[in-house]
Amino acid sequence: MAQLVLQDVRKRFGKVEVIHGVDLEVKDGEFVVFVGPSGCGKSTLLRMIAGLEEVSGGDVVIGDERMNEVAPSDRGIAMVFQSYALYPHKDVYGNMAFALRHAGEDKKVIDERVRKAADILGLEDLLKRRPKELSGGQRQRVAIGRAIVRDPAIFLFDEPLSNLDAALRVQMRVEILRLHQRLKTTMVYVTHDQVEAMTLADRIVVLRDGRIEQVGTPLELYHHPKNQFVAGFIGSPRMNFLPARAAGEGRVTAAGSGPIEMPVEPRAEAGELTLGIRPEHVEMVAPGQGTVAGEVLVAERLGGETFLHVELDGKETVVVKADGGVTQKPADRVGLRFPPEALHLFGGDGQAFARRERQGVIA
Amino acid sequence: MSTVDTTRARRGRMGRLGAAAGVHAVLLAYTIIAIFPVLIVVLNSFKNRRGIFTEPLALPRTETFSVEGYATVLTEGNFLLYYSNSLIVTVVSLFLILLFGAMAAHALSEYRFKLNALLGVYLILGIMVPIRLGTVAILQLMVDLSLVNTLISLILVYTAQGLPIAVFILTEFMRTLSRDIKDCARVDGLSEYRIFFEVVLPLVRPVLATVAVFSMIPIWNDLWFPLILASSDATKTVTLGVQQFIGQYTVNWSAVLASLSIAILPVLVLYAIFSRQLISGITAGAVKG
Amino acid sequence: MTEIVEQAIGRSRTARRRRKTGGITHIAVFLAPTVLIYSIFSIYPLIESLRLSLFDGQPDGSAVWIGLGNYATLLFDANWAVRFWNALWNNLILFFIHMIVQNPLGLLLAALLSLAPRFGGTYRTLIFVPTLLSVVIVGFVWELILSPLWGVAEGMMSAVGLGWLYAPWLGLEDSALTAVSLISVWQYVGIPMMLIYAALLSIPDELLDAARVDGLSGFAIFWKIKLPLILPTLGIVAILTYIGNFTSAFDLIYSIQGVLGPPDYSTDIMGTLMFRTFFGQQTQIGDIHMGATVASMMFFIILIGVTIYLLGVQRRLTRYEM
Ligand SMILES: Nc1ncnc2c1ncn2[C@@H]1O[C@H](COP(=O)(O)OP(=O)(O)OP(=O)(O)O)[C@@H](O)[C@H]1O
Ligand SMILES: [Mg+2]
Repeated sequence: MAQLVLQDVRKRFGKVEVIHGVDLEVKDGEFVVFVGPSGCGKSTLLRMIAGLEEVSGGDVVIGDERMNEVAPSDRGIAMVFQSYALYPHKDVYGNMAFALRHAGEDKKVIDERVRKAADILGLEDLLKRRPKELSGGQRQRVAIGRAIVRDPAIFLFDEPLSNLDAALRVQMRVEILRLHQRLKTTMVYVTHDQVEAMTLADRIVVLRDGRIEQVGTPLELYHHPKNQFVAGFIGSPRMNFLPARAAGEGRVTAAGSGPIEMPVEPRAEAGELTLGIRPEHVEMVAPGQGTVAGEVLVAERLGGETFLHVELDGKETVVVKADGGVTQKPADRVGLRFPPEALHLFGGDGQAFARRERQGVIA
Repeated sequence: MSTVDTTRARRGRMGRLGAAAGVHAVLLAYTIIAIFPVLIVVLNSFKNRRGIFTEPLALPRTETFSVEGYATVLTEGNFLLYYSNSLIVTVVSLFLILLFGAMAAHALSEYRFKLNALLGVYLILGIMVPIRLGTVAILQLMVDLSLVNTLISLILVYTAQGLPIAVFILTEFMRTLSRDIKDCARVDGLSEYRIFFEVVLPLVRPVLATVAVFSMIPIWNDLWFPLILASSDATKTVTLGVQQFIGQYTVNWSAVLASLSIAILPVLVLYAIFSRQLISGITAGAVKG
Repeated sequence: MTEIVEQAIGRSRTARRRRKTGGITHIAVFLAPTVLIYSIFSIYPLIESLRLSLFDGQPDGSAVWIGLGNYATLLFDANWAVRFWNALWNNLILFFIHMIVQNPLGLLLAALLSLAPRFGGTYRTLIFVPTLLSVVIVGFVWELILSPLWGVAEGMMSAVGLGWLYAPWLGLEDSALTAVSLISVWQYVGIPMMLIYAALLSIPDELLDAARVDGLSGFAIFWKIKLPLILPTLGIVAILTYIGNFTSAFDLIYSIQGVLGPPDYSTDIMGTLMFRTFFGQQTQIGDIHMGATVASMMFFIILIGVTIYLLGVQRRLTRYEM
């Protein structure tokens, strides 16, 4: 059953419309992640779900009730903010108990719920501390604990990990994932970090300029991006794009290559085409073999893997994810093979050609 | 690498020492100029007449020590009453300035509504235009309201006078508060009023203290409005009381000096308590505008 | 999906009443006390003063509309004009002395303090002390110190061989205004000092480090980096000085010299003129309409200054993001 439904939700600030009609259904217990570049409207959308921002058009339904005019505290949601938003004048216990105390909940119930949340998050020893006596990770844990205590139907997270350093971010990511497995509560999570999105989400919602570009599981988005924007946004390093031309019979040429067989359904397309291939799918072969050839510009060695930036003879640059031990140096010539089953093709409007089911690469 | 005391290094060090000495010389000289007059008044207030005139610069000694001035002030002047008047006026005005000012600043910084920008400008006008220019009409207004020679008249005027700058400073500061924490309180179910009292006010407390000190000085020290609105004996403030006391006792120097000291001391004590707050407040936000 | 939403809409109508979002009552409640008090006791009196200045009082207590008649009297009637122009001129001198003594002194002290010398906090605290005191007190303190009766000033100057320079400055027509101005400078220099000091502190350290690496000396850093960055603050200080001239200067002169601005009106300023006109004095009975006229003139004069500042000075003083 749907836990959260957005129907044609719109938001205007004055005359400017920043959310242009969003439709979305989130199922009970689902972990949905909104991603998109800065300013695309992720926070605004989340805040409309929370009731912190008035809805200019459309409907927000939570459970089975239309919530457009309902106050945030009556929507059965809890929210975790990027800046933690802990009350500086209350200790950890006070912060976690605050909403319940305010709601006039029984003291014993409050204590039980706070202690349980503290137990889940390993905060037992910090209950008497003030927020300023906590590290960033601890603060974020308290902010999450405060949300847990309210026992909401939906958790809303707005970039909760952005203020943490890289190592802590990975650790907290795992904790949030475990929390979801344990509580099985619906969660809506906003981030601009596609790695967070891929690792956390049951389904990802990719937003751009106040519109949904695509909704799907992480692997759906990875393998079947609907358009060039999603293809470029999901995956790291990002997909290589090369201008291409139709060469008849479902084939294209790109960057001075011969005709390449494309694994896509044919479509009448007049405009310019774009060929897409992810760095991890490009294979390095001896110069003269493979689909195209070029010269290594830069080799970024990360130890376990190496990213080679290769300048093709047509002057386009392609990033290749290669083994950590490759010996190629800048100025070396290499051949690159594009396995046909890993290729994506986009029309002049940026829309992807529907791909045939992939074998090989997935398996 | 071994350290070699090059000529350049030595010259640099000497230069720095010289500069530091210069800095201290100037600051020290001006500091003496700043506090010498205050010191000399307070010191001499503890001397008898002879001591005051024969050795004005010396510390009180056993022969010259005397508190006769204070005795005169306390018996002749009604200073306890004046103090309590000043205290009532200052404390109540400050309370109203801070409460109402913070409420208005919260509204201006937190909510989007049509008149927001216009109201902001309207309120800030008062910083530019001294309230004294309306004295003629204020007096008439107070006569009409039968508030002449009441402390209430002073409180109302000082509140009106203090609000613009308080709203201005507090608005600037509240704009920097994280929106998240207020939203979080909303999700927690607090009404907008409780958000203001329970979340916003505690967060702006340090700035409130600064605004308090700033607003206090002109209220405590004002001569104009007590003179015009509340010069009756029952409503005199310390400043006005001292002014008139000195007018009567010009020849009794110990009494004059004692009354001056009595007016100075509480301000100095308060300043000693709040000075760190004041400085950090000024450096934090007051000059942003 | 549409079905779900329609059902939900139906249900939300019947659902128990819940608190609503939005509404503007609380905004009005937050603003009302400030707007009311400020409007009634600050803005209305100002407007009322402007209105009163357009009327003339009659012996029977009524008032008749005379347009700008009072202003004509103030500016052109021989008795009034001489007082008005004298007071305005004295105000301008007062302003000028503050600008060339108080503000540079404040800048110097702030610059020295911003070097973070030892005991900087103590210096700063002590230098600010006079600012806290009532002008009444300040006035009397200096009157006593400068008084030939007590002889503190004379004695101290003699001690350093400058006794011949001493004169009872407050009582002499040529020096009274300057003496009063300098007392006022002594009292208020703490304000520009603090404002400028705060502005200097807000300059990021990295910027100064960068300048140092670029080879600028301490002095050059001050002139070429710090000063341009604090120009807006200096602008604010200037306009505050200007406004202060027309308000707080009254208290000082009133308490040192009294309401007539002696000797011979040499320390008479707009504030004392307004007070005298309004409340009267020995030879003249109070006149609220002329008082309102003087107040309104002060309002216009302040307005001219503020306008010049806002249009001319402030626009040109670029505010840099720091
Ligand atoms: N209060 C507001 N008034 C006017 N415009 C706003 C307001 N809040 C947001 N916007 C605009 O709405 C758009 C979406 O903003 P939003 O904060 O939702 O972006 P976001 O996707 O969360 O970005 P980020 O990743 O940077 O947090 C932006 O163009 C922003 O400028
Ligand atoms: Mg955001």
